[in-house]
Amino acid sequence: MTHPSQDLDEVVHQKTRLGVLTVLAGVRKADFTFLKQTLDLTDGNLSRHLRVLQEAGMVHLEKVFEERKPRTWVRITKMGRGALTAELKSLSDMIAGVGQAGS
Amino acid sequence: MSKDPAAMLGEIDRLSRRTNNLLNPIAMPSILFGTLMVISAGIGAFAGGQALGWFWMVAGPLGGTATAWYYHRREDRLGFQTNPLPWVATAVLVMVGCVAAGLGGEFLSNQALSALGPLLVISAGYSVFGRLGRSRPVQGSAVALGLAVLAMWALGVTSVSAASAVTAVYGFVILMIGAASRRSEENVA
Repeated sequence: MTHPSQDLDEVVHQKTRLGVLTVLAGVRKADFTFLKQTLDLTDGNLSRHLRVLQEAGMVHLEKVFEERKPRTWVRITKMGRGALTAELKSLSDMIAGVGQAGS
Repeated sequence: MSKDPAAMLGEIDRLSRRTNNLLNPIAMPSILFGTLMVISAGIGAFAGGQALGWFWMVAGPLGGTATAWYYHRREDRLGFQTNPLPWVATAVLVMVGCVAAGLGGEFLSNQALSALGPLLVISAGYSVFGRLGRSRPVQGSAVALGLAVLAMWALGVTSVSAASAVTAVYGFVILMIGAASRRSEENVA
C-alpha cells in the first residue's frame, strides 16, 4: 500500500493552481480578471499557472471579443475536476493517517 | 497556502466559502421576496385568499424575472457564469406548487390545504434555495417555517388570517437575513 502523498499530482498540488481549480469547480466558467482578483494574483503569475493547467488538460481557455474588448474565459475540464477531487481525497487521507499514527 | 495537508484543506475550504459568497449572493432576492411576503400577508389578512392568489400570480413571475436579470448582470460585471438551472427549476416548482395547493384547496373545499399548503411549498423551496446558496440561516428558517405550519395544521389553525400572520413573520425573517447578508456580500464583491 503506497503512502497517500504518492497520489498527489504535482500539477494540482501547487497552491496557486489548486486555488484556480477550486474556484473554477464552483462555476460554469470564469474570466481571467475574476480569477486574478479572487486569488489576488498578478497577470503574469496567473498566465503562467493557467498555461501549466492547460497543457495538463485540466482547464480550457477560450479567447473571445465581447463589445470589442478581449476576454479570456477559463473553464475546468472533466480531467481537472477529477484531479481536484483526487487531490482533496489524498490530503484527507494524509490527515487521517497522521491522526491514526498519533493515537 | 501552507504545505501542511490540514492547513491546505482548511484554506481550500475558506476559498470555497469566500467564492460561494461571491457566486451565490442571497441578499437581493431575500430582500425582494421578504418584502413581497410581508405585503402579501397584509393582502391575505385584509382582502382574502383570492386577492392573495392574484397578487402572487403577478408578483411571483415579476420578482423571479428581476432576480434572474440581477444575477445575469452581476455575473457579467464580475466575470463568471454559473448554472442557473437548479435555481430556476426550484423557483418554477415553488410557483407551480403554491398555485396547485391554493387551487386544490379551493376545489376540494379544504381550508387547511389552500391556506397552509402554499406555506409548506415555500418552506420546501427555501430549504432548497438555502442549500444551493449554502446559507444556513435560509435553510434553518425554512425548516422552522415548515415545522410551524405542520403544527398549525395538526392543531387545526387553518384560517387565512393565521396563515397571513405566519407569512408576515417569515417574510420579515427573510428580509432580515437579506439585509444582514448584504454587507458581507458587498465586502467580497
